[in-house]
Amino acid sequence: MMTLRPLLSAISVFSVLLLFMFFIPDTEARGRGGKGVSRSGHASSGSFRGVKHHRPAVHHRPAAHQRARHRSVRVGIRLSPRSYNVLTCRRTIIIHRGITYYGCGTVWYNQVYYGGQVTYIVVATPPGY
Amino acid sequence: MLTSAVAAVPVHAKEPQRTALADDPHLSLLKRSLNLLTNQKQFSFTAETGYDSVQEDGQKIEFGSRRRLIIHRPDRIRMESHDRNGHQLQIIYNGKEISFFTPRDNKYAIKSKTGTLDDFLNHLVNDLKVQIPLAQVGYKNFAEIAMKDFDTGFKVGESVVAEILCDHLVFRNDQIDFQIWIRKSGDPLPVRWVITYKNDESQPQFWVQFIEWDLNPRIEDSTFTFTPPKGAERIQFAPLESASSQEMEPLKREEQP
Repeated sequence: MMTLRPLLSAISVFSVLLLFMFFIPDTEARGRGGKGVSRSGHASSGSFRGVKHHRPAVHHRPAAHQRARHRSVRVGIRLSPRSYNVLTCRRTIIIHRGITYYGCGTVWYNQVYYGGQVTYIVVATPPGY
Repeated sequence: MLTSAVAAVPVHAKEPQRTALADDPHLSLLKRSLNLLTNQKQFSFTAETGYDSVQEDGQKIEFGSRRRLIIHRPDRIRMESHDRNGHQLQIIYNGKEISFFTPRDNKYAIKSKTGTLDDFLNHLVNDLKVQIPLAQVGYKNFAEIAMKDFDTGFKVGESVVAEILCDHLVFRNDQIDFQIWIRKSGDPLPVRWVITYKNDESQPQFWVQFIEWDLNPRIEDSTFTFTPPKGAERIQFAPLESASSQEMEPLKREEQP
């Protein structure tokens, strides 16, 4: 029995980990349209013309390679209008001149209206950070 | 285009009579209905809308929203949309300012913008990248634009929609099939329309069911004036893509909430 105890303990830890893997909320994929479901489509425009309307590209979260690319961009210049509908990082929140900044590592975001929705876009680092 | 119009084929005719669409009585009925809106100084409506979103595997999923629009020409509009997923958006334009407000986020944005309703709607679509189905009825020449889009059309017959006796008309061009049900008694207001994007393999549809029309809505000072709710946070509009080299400017001191 004594020799089985570490083994049983390891199995129980492994079971908990398995449960955690299967039932943890998938916050990273959380989007307004639901995971894996696209809400877009040119039928959404109600246009009388058949032209395709492309909704603004809203990304669920900044990917690691995007974060790396952002770091290399000169501070003070607005970056591309890539936007995210949710930030899943551990955010630092500060208010500078009436604007709320959300920091993920060295990358900073503002909430803005883009395509009629509140999204996060990458902005210049606020002074002092 | 009207110049290349083909035939209007009444569904009940044994031998379809080929007439230029421009002279077709069914087109004139559509024209009368759309002109009623474009000539109206002010009106409001509530509508239920739905559209197919075609997934990568071809499955169609319907999303939709309830929309309310109040239009006061030449330069005022209030739009409220309530999506089925709970997202709400209120947009107000009063000829001087545009405001956005999303109650679920309790955020809002305000920016200066002068001009007519047409100027605002162009700005909304081209610069702010916001697609507001049905907002196109606010264009001064909406009827003219819509009419130019159809090559053929005919009357399917009379049809009762939501207990309202309507004329059921269908039109098409090389890109869409358009169906409209127009109220037979009183003002020829649209009761329902359906657009099928037929060039898409899955042929998705956009449909509108007009629930309530008011051609003389009561408009108060607050209708086109946005007052931020207590506790709401002011944010900005995304910088225009055409101004990508500009910096993201902080709010001016006097604009701070």
